[in-house]
Formats: sequence, C-alpha cells, structure tokens
Amino acid sequence: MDLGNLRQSSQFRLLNLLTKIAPSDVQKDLVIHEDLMKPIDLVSGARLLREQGVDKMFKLASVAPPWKNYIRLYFIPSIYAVAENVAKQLKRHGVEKTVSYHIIVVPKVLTVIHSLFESLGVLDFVTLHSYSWDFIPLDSNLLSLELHHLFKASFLKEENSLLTSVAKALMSFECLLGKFSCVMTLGEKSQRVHNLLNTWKNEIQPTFPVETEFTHLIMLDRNIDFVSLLLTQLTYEGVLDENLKMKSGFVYLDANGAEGSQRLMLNSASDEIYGEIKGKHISAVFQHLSKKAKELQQKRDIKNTDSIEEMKNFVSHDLRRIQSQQKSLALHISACEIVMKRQAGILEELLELQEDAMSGTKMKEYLAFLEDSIARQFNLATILRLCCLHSIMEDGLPEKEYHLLQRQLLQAYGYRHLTTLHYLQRLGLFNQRDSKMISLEPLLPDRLARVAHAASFRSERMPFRKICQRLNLLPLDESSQPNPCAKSGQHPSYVFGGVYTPLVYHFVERCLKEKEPSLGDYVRCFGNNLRIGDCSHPQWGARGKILVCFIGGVTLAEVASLDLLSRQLGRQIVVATTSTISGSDFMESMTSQHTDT
Amino acid sequence: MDKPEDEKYWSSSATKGFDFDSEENEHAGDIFGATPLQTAQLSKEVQQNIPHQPVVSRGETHRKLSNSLSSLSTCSNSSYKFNTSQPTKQCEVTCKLLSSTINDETMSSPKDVVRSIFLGMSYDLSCFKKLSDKKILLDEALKLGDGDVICAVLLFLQKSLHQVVLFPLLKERYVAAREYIAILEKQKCFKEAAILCGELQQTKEAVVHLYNSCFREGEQTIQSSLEQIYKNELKNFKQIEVESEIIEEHILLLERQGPIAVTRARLPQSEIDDTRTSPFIGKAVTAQNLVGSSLLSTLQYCCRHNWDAPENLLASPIGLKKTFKLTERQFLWNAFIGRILMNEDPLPILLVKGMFGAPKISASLSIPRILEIASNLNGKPNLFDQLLLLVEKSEKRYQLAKKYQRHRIVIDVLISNKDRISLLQYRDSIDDQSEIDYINNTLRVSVSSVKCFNH
Repeated sequence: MDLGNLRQSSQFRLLNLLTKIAPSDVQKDLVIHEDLMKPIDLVSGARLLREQGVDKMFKLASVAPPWKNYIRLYFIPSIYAVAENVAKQLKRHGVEKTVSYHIIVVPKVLTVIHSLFESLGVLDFVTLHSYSWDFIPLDSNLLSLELHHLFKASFLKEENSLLTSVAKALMSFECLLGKFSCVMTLGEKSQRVHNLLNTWKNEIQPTFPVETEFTHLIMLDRNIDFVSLLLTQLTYEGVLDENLKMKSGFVYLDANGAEGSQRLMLNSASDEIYGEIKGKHISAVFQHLSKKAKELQQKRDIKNTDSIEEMKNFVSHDLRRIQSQQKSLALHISACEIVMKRQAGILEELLELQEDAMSGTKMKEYLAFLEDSIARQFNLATILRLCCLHSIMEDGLPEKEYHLLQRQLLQAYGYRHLTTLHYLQRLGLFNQRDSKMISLEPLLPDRLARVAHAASFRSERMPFRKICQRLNLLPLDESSQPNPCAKSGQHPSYVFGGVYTPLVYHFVERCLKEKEPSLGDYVRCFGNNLRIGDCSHPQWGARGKILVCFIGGVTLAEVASLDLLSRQLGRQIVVATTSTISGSDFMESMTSQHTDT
Repeated sequence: MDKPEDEKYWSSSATKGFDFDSEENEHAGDIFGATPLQTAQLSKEVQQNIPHQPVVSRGETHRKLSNSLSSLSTCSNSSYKFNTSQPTKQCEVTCKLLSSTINDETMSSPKDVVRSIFLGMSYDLSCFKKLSDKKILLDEALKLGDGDVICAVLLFLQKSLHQVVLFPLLKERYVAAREYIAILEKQKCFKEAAILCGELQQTKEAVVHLYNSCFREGEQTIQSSLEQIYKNELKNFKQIEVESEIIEEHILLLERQGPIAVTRARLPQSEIDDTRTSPFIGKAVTAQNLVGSSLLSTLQYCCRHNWDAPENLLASPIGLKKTFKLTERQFLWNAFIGRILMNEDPLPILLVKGMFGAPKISASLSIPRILEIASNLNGKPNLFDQLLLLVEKSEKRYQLAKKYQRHRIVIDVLISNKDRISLLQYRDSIDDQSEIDYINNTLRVSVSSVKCFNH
C-alpha cells in the first residue's frame, strides 16, 4: 500500500488547475489563507508552486498585498466569511482590465459563495475554481482532509455541503487503492456520506484497481462519542495536541507559533523517536526519553574509543543518524517541559474530577469545584469540558443545577457566551434534563413538535452512561479504581488514564469479528444510526486492511487506541478523518465569537 | 414554358415541393407542400430510425415536449400538427429554443436539474415557477442529500418566494429549514432566522439569533440594540424567561460599565497595567477594555478601584453584588483578587467568625487555592502566615508551609509534633539565620525541659 499515491493525486490536480489558470511560464501572485498553508505545503510544497509560475506568496490579510504580477490567485477555504472578505477586498480595488483574479476555494465553491460573488458584481474580473485534495497522509496510520470547519458546519449548523467532498475523497481513495467490500456506518452523517459516495460512483462509473488491500470501511460520526473528545488525552501525541495544538502534523514549541520558533513534525516515518513514544502514556514518556538519551550518549562514547577506520565508518554512516536523533530528542524533551510547566498543579486535579464524572461519584464535590473555578474565571475551555462531561454522563443536568451553572458561566465569562451555551446544547453536550418532556414525548400534539423536541433534547438517544454500561466502556472496577493495566498500554482505556475505553476501539473490534460483526448491542444503543453492509459478501471475513473514517474529527487518543487494536489483531488499521481535533481546540472554537462556516 | 421540360425539372428537383397536376391539388393551400399520405409515410420512416427510448425517460420527455408544444401551439398557427409521441433530440432542442423566444419556458425534470447541480453542470431553475414545482424541486434536492444542492435550491426559493410562503414550506422539511437557517446566518439575516426558528418551535434558538444580531453593528450600538429586542422582539416568543432575564442583566451591566470606565479615564493618574496573573484566575481588565467585559471582571475591577464606593454608586462592589444577586463565593474571590492586586490586605474580606468565635474562611473557600493564587500574585508574606494558621490539620499546614517557605510555621508544627530529627534536618536545609536561631533556642530549652523530645 502506498499512501503517497494520495499525495501525488492531490498534487496532480493542483498543478493541473494552476496550468489551466495560466501556463507555468506566466508569473502569478498567490495569496493564501492561514489554514491552508500547512496542507498545501504537505500536498505540493512551495517548490512545485514556484515551478508553476507562482512568484510571490502572501498570507491573506484584511488588506490587499503589494501585488507584483497581473495574474493573482487566492487560496481560501470554503468559509463564507472569508470569501466575503476577499470579495469585498476585490470590489474595493475595482476593475483593472489587465489583471485577472482567480479564487481557488477548498474543497469546493459552494453555491452560497458563488452567489455572494455574483451579488457583489465581481465575477467580471474574478474566476472561481474548486480544488479538493485527497486525504493527506499526516502519519503512517493517519490521513486527514484538514477540513477543520466541517464539524461546525455539519454538526452544529446542520449544513451538509462539505459532506460531498468527503464522499469524493473516499471515492478517490477507492480509485487509487481499491474498492471497499464491506462498509459499516455509525451516525447520520456517515450514512449520508456513504449514500453520496454511492451516488457519485453511479454517476461517474469510475474504474477501480482489481486488487484491493482495504477491504473494510468503517465510518463514524464525531457526535457518537463526545466523551473521547472531552476527556484529557494522556498519550504523548494527544498531550502535545491538547497543549501545543497540532496543525497538519506540526506543533510549535512556543505559544504563538511565531516564525523562526522551533517546530516539531509529528510523523513517525521521519522521526524514529516520535514513533516510539507517540502512543505511550505520558507518564512513561520522560522515562523513555531519558533512556534514549543515555543510549545515544553510549553510542557516541563507544565510538570515541574505536579505531580510526571504525571511526571513519561511524562518521560517514551512524553519526548523522545519531545527530538527527539527538536533535529530535532535544525537541521532545523541550515539548515535555513545556507541557509539564503548563499543567503543573492542574492536571492531576482535573484527572481526578474526570474520573469522578465517569464513575458518577463525588458529584457534590464536582459541582463545588465547578462553582468555585467559575467564580475565579478559571480557563473557560477547561470548565466547559467538565460541565459537558458531567452533563453527558448524567444525561443532562437537573433544571436547578443547569440554570445555576448557566447563570454563573455567563456572569463570569460574559453574557455573549449565551451563544456558546446554546451551541453546546444543540450538540447535546450541555443540556437540561427534562424528565417531563421525555415522558410526554409520545403525547406531543403533532409531528413537528416531536421533531423539534427530538432536535433540542436528543431524547431519542439512549443515555450515554447506559451505552457505556452496555458496551462495557467504563473499565473502573467496583472500588472505582482505574484498571491496573491502564497505564501499561495493554488496555485501550490507557489513552484516558483507565477511566474510559474509546467507543471507536470497541466498535471496530466488534465489526471485525471473524465471520460476521457482533453488533447487537450497537443496534440497541444506536438504532437507525447504525448501518451494516452486506454481511454475506465473500470479502467480509477477509483479513484485509481497514479504513476507519471519522466525520467531524478524531482525537489522537482514539488513533492510539486503534493502533493498539491493530497490533492486537495483527491487521493494519488506517484512520482517515476530516480533521484532527482535541478537546481544548474544540472548546476554543465553540467559545470563539467567530463561528463562521 | 414547355410542359415536358417542366415535368423533368420538377421530377428531378432535389427539393421536390408541389406538383400542380398531381392528386394533391386539393391541398393546394397546405403550406408544407406535401400530402398527408406523404407525411404519414415520412413519419413512419423517421420513426423506424428513432432508437427505442427507455420507458421512464420517454414518459418524462413526452411530458416536457408536450408542454413546450402546447405552449407553442397557443401562439402560432393551429394548423401545425406534430406527432409528439416519439420526438427527436433535435426536435426537442428546437422546441425549447422556440418556446424561449416566445418567453414561455419549458420545465426540465426536477430530478434532472438536481442531478445537474450535483454534478456541477450548468442549470437553470427559472422555469420552476409554480409553487408545486418548487416543492417538488426541493424534495428532489433533499432526497439526493447533498447540502450544496439543497442550498442552491433554497437560494432560488429565497429569491422567488415570499417569506410568508417559504417558511411554511420549510416548516414541513426540517433538514431544509436547518440549511436555510445556516444561509440566513451567513447573510446576517438574524431576524429572519429567528422567525423561522420560532416557526419551528425552537424559541430559545430564536432568541440567540436576535441576541447575535445586536453585535452586528459594533460595540457602540450593542446596548441600544439589546434594549430594542428586549422591548419589542422577545414578546413574540414563549418559554424564554431565562434568556430574557439574561438579556436584561446584560443591559443592566452595560448601563453600569460605560460610566465606570469614563469616570476612571477622567482621573489624572494613568492606570498601570498589572501583569501579575495566575493560571487559576482570569485576566484582569483595565479601563480600556472594561466595557464589554464580564460581570465578574467588572466586579473585580470595581474591587480594585472603587472598593469603598457607597452602595448607591454604579461602581460599588456591594451594589453590584446586590443588583446581580451574586453568590458569596463569586463576590469573595473577586474581592480577594482585586484587593491583592492593589497590594491591600485581603484577609479581612475572607474571614468570618466561626461557631466559638474563632476566625474561619468564609464561603468555604479552599485555603490551599487561596495560597496558590496569593503566591502567583506576589501576596505579602504576612498573608501566608495568617492563612496557614487557619489550616486545621497540622500535617496539611506543615506541607503548605513548606511549599511556601514559611519557616516559622514549619518549625512550629515540627515542635508541636516533637519531631527533633525532622527539625534538625529542616534547620540544615534553610539559610534564614533568625529561623536557625529559633530552632536552636527551642532545642536548647526543650532538652532541659522535655526529655522525651528526643523521640
């Protein structure tokens, strides 16, 4: 299997588009939106763009850059507000007959964006182009579409325009790497993507390679398991993502990610040390790094005493590798230091609280902590994560408790967060438990009332604690002690310190039962949200590779748990996602005043 | 003219048209110049050459063509007789062209149009004029399931239907309604979004849309916009008591923040931006960013600069507490942080009398947390000593005193525990000569007085 094909395919399409706009010998200026810089770097790199005649590159700002050439390209995500800014910027500048503007929208020029450009009357000198890349390999087992705004668009605002792009990317994956014989979906959006994938295939009738390595496609919606998003990730890569914010496989070691700051590429293929530690529990990482440091030192020391011939050989072969490893080791140690400094005095307390929320114990203390922290205006994202975790596990909060927390949150962090709390409610993350409404549901007068009720209270769902119990996702024993093998990395719950097994681990494991998937419990828990493909297909029991696709984002802790499953089953599992996501990132995006999609 | 020559000409003509001597003379007025027999024969021949159409598409094509033909026949010579059962493609295109020239468009199949949008082909929705056709079009888009296709149809409906007609249509189609609300949000039509949410019985969301609309014009108009929706719009929605109260509180806060910030800005001494902070608390606000900050940030600001203000003043911390019904915990934390940032002693605020008159911390605030924040904000040493003495368990007091290097308290705990070894170890670990002397003196006295101190 060569996931590099995906990159080549994306590259090919990009270069084709650029050539279509203007031949490579014609110089162009390029303005690129911040969110697209890293992905474009991974897809083509600056060198290839230059070869295609891109002369000057600018970061998109509120004012137009100092243009140099007459062909001017914009690279923007399909976010309405961004498109609106660009359109207004161009409108202000007016028409210059010699200049042509090309707006490349990733992944697609949405109708609403096209309509915007049309209404502003700029289409006389602006041409809109769609460009979608295939899944971008971020690591050997992780592919991403880097569509960070998809979660908000699809799950929060319920606008599903971007799901077609996911279906297209999956079709492209099949065209390059073979057709999936067995497809399972868990969640409404996944089902929709699967339907769109089939529609595309029927329309285009593409040809697929005869040999296929990936036999299974398992698709899940992010909102099926929000707990994995809210709990603190405790694998090394997860911790880095939570604290330093991974962007397209990179983290910056200073807070602002300013230019010139040290950056760390989180790719196990290019960094051996990262490959060794990325999935480890954070408590074991520093130990591993210090062991590694000693080993490297020993290697250097041994070679110092060798003969000249051996020394020559060492310098020409091993030294570069050792030096590169030492450099990477230093970066990982720095990253650990930053994280430890940031989390000092906070992390342990938070982990204890999360354990309480999952086990449903010490709820009085839990609420006292929330009230106390809110009064001090402690970090909003952290507080909201705890509030949401509590609400999910308790299937909503009692009316009095809900209103108390709501009021105190707004008084502490600003009334503008009325919108934030509304968003969280819409997502089913921070809700008021309404026993009256649930019992009255069948008596509601008309279908509309029931639809509205279902949409606002999500009462058609089984309470999450019941799901956890039915699927055995809470490995805490009767004494509420975390599973002893949690930190050893033998049990999937280790990624959350032994308090919770990611639902995806369990689901994929059940899907891959030898003869047919044993998903009876899932049918009871998720009803129509679960769709199982044709179990009679001869490939069902085949031991091919598995693509697990997340619609709405995946946490690196979940990726680590699937990595563990992959090792346990002896089958390769590759995770494809619309973007990587962490709890802190998610909450920050929810609390942001700019929730454009 | 020589007749045989004429005959030869007419018979050999490639475009044989009309023979005055033939039997069809009776149809001389026929503009086609052909007999019905000839046309029937030609029609039969043509039909034989037309490939057989699939059943479904034939029906649809038939319908489309019939429509266009009927529209055509109403405006042209009625003597035109077409066989419409098996039209050719060219014929269809010609008819469409003709019909467009007479400004009466043909309607493509909704399914085909939706498919065209999905595949990125060019499409025209202007032919869907009837409400029933628009409904079918929307339903087809919903059936396909692509959000962008639904959006394209909705944008068309937005342009071509009045809100009074469109909203009931969306009310019956929840997925389309959600997509439309998203479009309205993008277009910043918050009020329309609120009305639609109201129709969908999602009144809380409707309030949020109205609330968001107040921030559209910038900071200057927020208060007046909020007042406007509070007075005029919210009464249209039910079950929004909590949200109404929140908006009312927001207005009240803005009414206070403006004058407080202005008063402060008029003062001669410039405000020094205090950089002291703690990971356990929020960032303090200044006069510049006071307006728009949260209620508790405002309270903290007032505790810093207007601590003694009488209750009837807008900037009074006690006034704020009472007006907004803040809890003791909310008030105490912010008063504590505010006073410590002003380098004042915050302890009197925190202490209340316990059951037997002994002082204790009010509202059960955690002493370790207070110490942590005081340490981050460079609180005075005296504060630590006083707070540590309030820790009941000696073990905990010892740990905290050690953490914050309050040597005298550590020493006193060790003395009370009669732990000579630890005391000696502690003496060796510190540099403060006065504390070392204190330990030495204690040990000297205790050796002579308490023999068991060695244990």
